[in-house]
Formats: sequence, structure tokens, C-alpha cells
Amino acid sequence: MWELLAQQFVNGISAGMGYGMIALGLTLIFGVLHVINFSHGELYMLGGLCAVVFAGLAGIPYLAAVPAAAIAVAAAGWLIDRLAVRPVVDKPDGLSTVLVATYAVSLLIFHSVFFTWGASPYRIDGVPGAIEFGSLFISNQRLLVIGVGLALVVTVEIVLRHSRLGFEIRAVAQSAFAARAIGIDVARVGSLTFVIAAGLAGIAGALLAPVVLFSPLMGHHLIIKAFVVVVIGGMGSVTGAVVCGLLLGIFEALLTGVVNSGMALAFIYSLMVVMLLVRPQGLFRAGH
Amino acid sequence: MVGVRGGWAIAVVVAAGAVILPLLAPTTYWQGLVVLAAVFALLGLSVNLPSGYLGYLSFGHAAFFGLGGYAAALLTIKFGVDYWIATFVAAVPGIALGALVGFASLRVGGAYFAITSLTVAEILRLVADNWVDLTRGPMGLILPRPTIPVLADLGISFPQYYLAITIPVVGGCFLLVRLLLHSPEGRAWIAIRESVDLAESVGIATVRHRVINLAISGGLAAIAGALLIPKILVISPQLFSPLYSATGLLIVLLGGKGTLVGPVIGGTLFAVLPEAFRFVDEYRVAIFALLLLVIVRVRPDGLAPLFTKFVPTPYEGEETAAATIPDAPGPRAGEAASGPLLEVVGLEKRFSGVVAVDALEFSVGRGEIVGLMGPNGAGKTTCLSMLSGFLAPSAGSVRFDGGQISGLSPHAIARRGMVRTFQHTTLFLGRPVLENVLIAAGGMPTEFPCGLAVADRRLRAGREGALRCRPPRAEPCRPGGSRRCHGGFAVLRRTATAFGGSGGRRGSAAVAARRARRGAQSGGGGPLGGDAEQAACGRNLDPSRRAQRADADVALRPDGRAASRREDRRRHAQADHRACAGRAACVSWRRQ
Repeated sequence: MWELLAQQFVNGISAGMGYGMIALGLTLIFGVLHVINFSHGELYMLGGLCAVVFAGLAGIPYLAAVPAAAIAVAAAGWLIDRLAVRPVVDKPDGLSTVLVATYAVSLLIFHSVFFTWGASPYRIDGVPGAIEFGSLFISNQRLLVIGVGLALVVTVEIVLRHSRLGFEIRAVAQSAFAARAIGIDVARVGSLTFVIAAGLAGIAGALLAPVVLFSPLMGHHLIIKAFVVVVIGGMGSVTGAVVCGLLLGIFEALLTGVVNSGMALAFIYSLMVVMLLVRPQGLFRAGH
Repeated sequence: MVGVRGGWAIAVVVAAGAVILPLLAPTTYWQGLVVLAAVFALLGLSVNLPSGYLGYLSFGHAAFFGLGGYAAALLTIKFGVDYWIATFVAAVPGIALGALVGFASLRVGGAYFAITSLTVAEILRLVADNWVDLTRGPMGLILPRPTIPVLADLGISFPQYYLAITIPVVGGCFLLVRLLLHSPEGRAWIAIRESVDLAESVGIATVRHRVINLAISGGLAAIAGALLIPKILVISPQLFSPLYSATGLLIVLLGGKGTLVGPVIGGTLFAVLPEAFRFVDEYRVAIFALLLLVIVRVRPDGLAPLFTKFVPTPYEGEETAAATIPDAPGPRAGEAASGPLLEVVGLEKRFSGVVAVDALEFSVGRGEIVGLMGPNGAGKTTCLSMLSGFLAPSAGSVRFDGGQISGLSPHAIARRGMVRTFQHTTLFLGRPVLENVLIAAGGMPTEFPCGLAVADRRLRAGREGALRCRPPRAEPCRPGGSRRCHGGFAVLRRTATAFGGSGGRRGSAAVAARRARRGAQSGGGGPLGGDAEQAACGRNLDPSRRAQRADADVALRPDGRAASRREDRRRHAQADHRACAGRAACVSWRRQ
């Protein structure tokens, strides 16, 4: 029993790293543009699809396919920003129009892929091999997820804190008006944020595809988990997204070891509603 | 808006449709299609309540839709309740879930509501999928066709009376919503959509109205879900699938947000289009999505304007309309009491390290006008925001009319008779002029000024054309504005003049309509607060009055004339002096 839970715990860390990366992108976009990107889950799915196409079908080595997938999805993110976000975000009622537009994009991506590809999951091989600690068993692929995820999160944090771009992003997040007044190109910062977030989702998808099996549905399931993470962590909070992403992954894995996985998820999702009732600003953001 | 007679017209059309359509629709297939259109229209109507009238887009109405379906099916199968009765009982869980989701998310913001609605639908889908003992999981519940023997004996086929029952139920729901929209409840929703802060400031309990809106919406969606059951007969977790949420939202956005005809258009389209798009079959949702992307860019109002733009808006001359507004009611008896009306003790506000207002103390007696002076950043607006409940004080107390009001929400304070107006022109710009006044008057029916009651009746009768024109969105007070809009504003001015007096010399229509005993104003205020003359139109302000308004922050003499320049300078100097001590200065006059 304890061995099973320990194994689930370790597995949960890698899944949670993926959730953290998705939620990090969502929360960055929300912090800077003050909009929710409903198509974020589908970007993650596209990342998985790219890995499958590049590594599984085109025969490129997996480790080269991951950055390629990230670039392809970042490009898709740029396109979405150009077509669905940028033109409407500054209009009256722009924030809800962006919700609708990105929602339409998510339907478009999902249904196009779903009916071209089919519903069947596809298996690709990531990094082979595994490490064993006594009875614990960690595949190298999961280690890769954890390592790359950590590296990316730290990089994002460093960029946000110490680079020119990071300074501009934080300025726009504080007040787009004031940022514009001191000469920051707010539109460019918004687009860059979107592209960075899309790239993170793409890498997460490419990294997790060998772990969870690729399926066109993976984005739909993930976006809700990412929403739960950002609401519980606090919308716009980078720390909240990463920490709560990890916690969700671990918690989900542990619960799944004990009860039916569907009910475990329903329970975890309900935590979000509870959080909204008791502490709507989330765990990692100060109240008003 | 259509008058009261419009409601009867709709009722007649619905009744006629209920009789004729089942007979006309040639085959079971067509009858099924009409039922589907009606169910989709009802789903669209329920999505439209938060998305169109409240301004909060719902991405998860499948939650309520599926809940209604399951509730009706479980009541019928497990408890032996007649299906047709269960259809209405199914509204109850929908209402409860709507209230819960509304309370959890609507007070936080639109983005949260979008997320929560989506997540709740997913939670219910997972529960329906996994609680096999109750729902039979993915297999789904199977309901025998709910026949009505009496009607069957009369030779009416099941599809015929299924349709004949569905249409009046859906029509009844539309009439109910229409009635609500013309009541203070509906006006409150629209006020919230246009501006939450302004709605709060005129006494609308915004959280409560948002929760009520979503509870009603949840109930309607549940009925829609229950009505669909005799068509599908297998109730599976698919009812909670995002596809139904998407359908509901697309119906509203395609048809037209915030209109009653929108869901009907959208519902019909969505019942018929899948048939028309059969040749692209699996890609049709992708095509709808593409269509939606185009729509939000080129036609954000949906298709409804195509159907309504040919209905002319009646318009009567400005003078006629203005002349119908009766005189103001006199001051209320027994209003005079002893003690100061407003008493501020040790009021303090800190933003982290910055002390914006420090140990402010003053009191305002009845009939007294008090000006709050200070240079930029002295904390004048912060003070007014605290008095009106928009900011919570860090310390200190505010008593108004004998009761403690610090810590109350803005609408609660407005309801006690103290109304805040804003520095910049603040109107419900999307709404007609009279409706602006009615929204402000609507919160307190017992004190509804008789003149407004008359005006309200006339508005319902659809005769008050000038009052129903909308101020142009971009520039509300353009001097060269169209005559129609000018007419509307002139009426607002008259209304303000008619009801003024109780809200002080600078009483506005809204403040007066509230029968406010004191109007708290920051920097002179906008039309719905502030100078009614300015509401009339920019060109009605002569240059000297403009100058006075510029100084309004600082000096406003009880006789209404602007303070002389020298006097002004002296006061500025005083204010500067006191501001050095870190506080805004208070100057008060007795009304002559």
C-alpha cells in the first residue's frame, strides 16, 4: 500500500510539473492581458501532436522533436494572438470577446484534430530507460519532464525578475496605461507573453505525450485542471501556478491510487468551487 | 422594447403555434425538429440571462441542462413521478445549482464565472459517469416514452402532443423572462452589465441580483434539459458534454446577445443547420467555430438586429415628452431630527505604507452644505469613496442618520439615503434616458416618486419616444448632437429640476429620484449625479458655469455663485496649509 502511494507520489510530481507549466502560461497571459486563453489546453494538445508527428511519424529523434514542437506551438500561439486576441482585446467589451474568440479557436483546433486524427490514443516512445530506488521506479521520461519543467520555470522566473522583457511584462501587468506612458510597447509585450505561454504549453504537451499517451482529448481534460490550478493558486500568481500545479499532480495521483479516478477528479475540481467561496483571491495572492 | 400589448401578442403567437404546428408539421421528423428548435431556444434564453443581460459569459450551461435532464429522468424512474410533472420539478436543482455557482463566482468577476461554469459542468459529467448505482454510468438511464393516455385516446400522436406541450412551456418561459426584464429586477441586471460601480452607487444590491439572475437561468436550462428527454430517451453523461455548453453559447452569440428574439433565431438555426451541414458532417462544429470567430469581429451583435432594425422607434417632440413629467413631490414630513446627519470620526485609510486619509473628523448637519478642499492627492476622493462604501476604511467610523455605515456595501449606504456620484460623467450609456432614471428609482419601490411611476407606465405603454432614445456611446454630450438625443437629455434635465430640491441645490435626477437626503459628490459629479444642467447637454453650459465647475472641487457657495478669484486663492492657500498636515480640509456653510 505504502509502496503504491510512494510510487503514485513520484508519478504525481511529473504530471504536476506539466500542470504547472500550463498554468504558468495561463496565469502569465491573465496577468499581462487580463484575459483567459480558452485555447490553452488545445495548445498543449498540439504540442503532443507535434511530438507524435515529428518523432513518431517523421522519424526525427524525440529529443529534437521536443524543441521543434515548442517552436511550432509558439508559432500557433502567435497566430492565435494575431487573429483572435489582438484585434478584439481593445474594443469595448473586449475581455469577454477574447473569451469567446479563444473559445472558438479551441473548438476549431480540437474538432479539426479530432476528426482528422480520430479519437484513438497514440503511443510514442520518449527517452528510454528508468531508474530504480528500491521498490520505487521512475522512468527517464518522467525525470526529463521534471528536469525540463524545473529549468523552464526557473528561467521564466529569472527572465521576469532580471531581464528588460521581464521588467516590461511586470510593468504592463501592473498597469498597461502607465506602461504605455513610459514608452513600453504594450501590444508587443502582450504578443510576446502569449507566444512564451504557448511555447510552454507546447513543450509540456511534447514532454507528457509519451507519459500519458497522445489523444486529441488530452487538451480538453487539461484545460480544466489548469483552471483549477490558477484559481486555487491565485489568478496572475506565478508561484501559485507552479506550486499548485505540482500539488494538484501529486494529490490527483495519490487519490487515484485510493479511489476511482473519475470521482477523484470530481473531488479535486470541487475544491476550486470551495476555494472561490472561502478565499476567492486564491492561496498565493494577497486579499484586497 | 415592445409595450405590454407586445406580451399578449407573443402569448397569442405561442398559443397558435402550439395548436397549429403539431398539425402542420407533416412528419414525425419535422415535429422532432421543431421540438429541438424550441428546446435550443430555451437553452439559449437561459444562457442569454447571464451572458446577454448580466454581461457574464457562460461556458458551462450544460451543467444545468444535464442536471435538469437527469433530475427529471431520476424522478420518473426511481420515484415514479409523472414525467411531465417532473419536468417542472427539475427546475429546482437547476435553480439551486445556479445560485451556488452564482454566489461562488459572480461576485469575483467574469473570467472566474467562465472558468467555474466550465468546471462545474465537468464535475457533474464525471459524477454522472462514475456514480454507476444512481446513473448507470456511461450506459445511461433509459426512460420509457412518457405517453399521456387521455390524449392518445383522442387520436393525437405522441410527437404531436409532445410538441404541443413543449411550445407553450418554452413560450411561457420567454414571457416570464420578458416580464422580469421590464421589472426592477431586469433593470438591475442591465445596470450591472453597463456598470457595476454605478449600479452599486444607486442602491442596487449587485451580488444579490447576479445570484438571482443565475438561479433563474439555471432553472430555465434545467427545464430545457428535461424537455429534451422524450426525444432522446437515453440520458447519458453526454448531456453534460461541452458540446451543449458550446451550443447554448453559440445560439446566443449567433442570434444576438441581450435580445429575446436572439435565442429563437439561434435555436432554430442550430436545430436546422446540422441537417444542412450534413455534407461536412464531422467538421460542422469546426465550421461553427470559424463562423463564430468571424462573427465576433464583424457582427458582435449577432443576427437579431437584422430582425429588429425595421421596427421604428416612436418619437414625440421634446416639449411634449417633457411636459408630461409632473411636479416634484414636496419634502417628506417628519424628516427633520436632531443631531448631525453625517458624522465622521477618526477616519483613516492606508494603502500599504501610504496614509491617504489620516484621522479625518467632520460632521454635516441637516440642510448644511460641506465642501472638502485639498490639493491633488490630499485624499478627497478616497474620503468620499470611504463614505460611500467603495473603499473600506482602515480605521474610524462613519455615522449617517443615526446609524453606523462604515463597512456597509455601497448599495446599502445608497439605500439609507446617501448617494455617491462620480467625478467623470457616469451614465448607463447603453440605456435610454428614462431607463437611467428608472434604474436609480427602481431599488426602493415604497419611496417611488409618483412622477416616475407615471413615466414608467408611459414607458411601458411605449409612447415615451424621446425618453427612449439612447445617448450616443462615444460622446454623451456632444454639443452638435442629434436633436433626438438632445431631446432625451433635455427631459432628463426637466426630470432633475422637477425632483430636485431634496438632494440639495446640485441634486441630480438620480439623486433626487432616490429621495436622497444628502448627495455625496466628488469633483462636481456627472449627469446621473452632479449637475443636471450638464446632463442636459454641453452646449447649455455657458462659459461662466464651466469655470465654476472647474472650481467645484474647491468651492461651492450656498447661493450658487462661484466664489471670487481672490476668495478662491485664499481657500487654496488654506487648503495647502492644512494639506501639509496630511489631511484634506473641510469648509462648511449653512444654507441660507
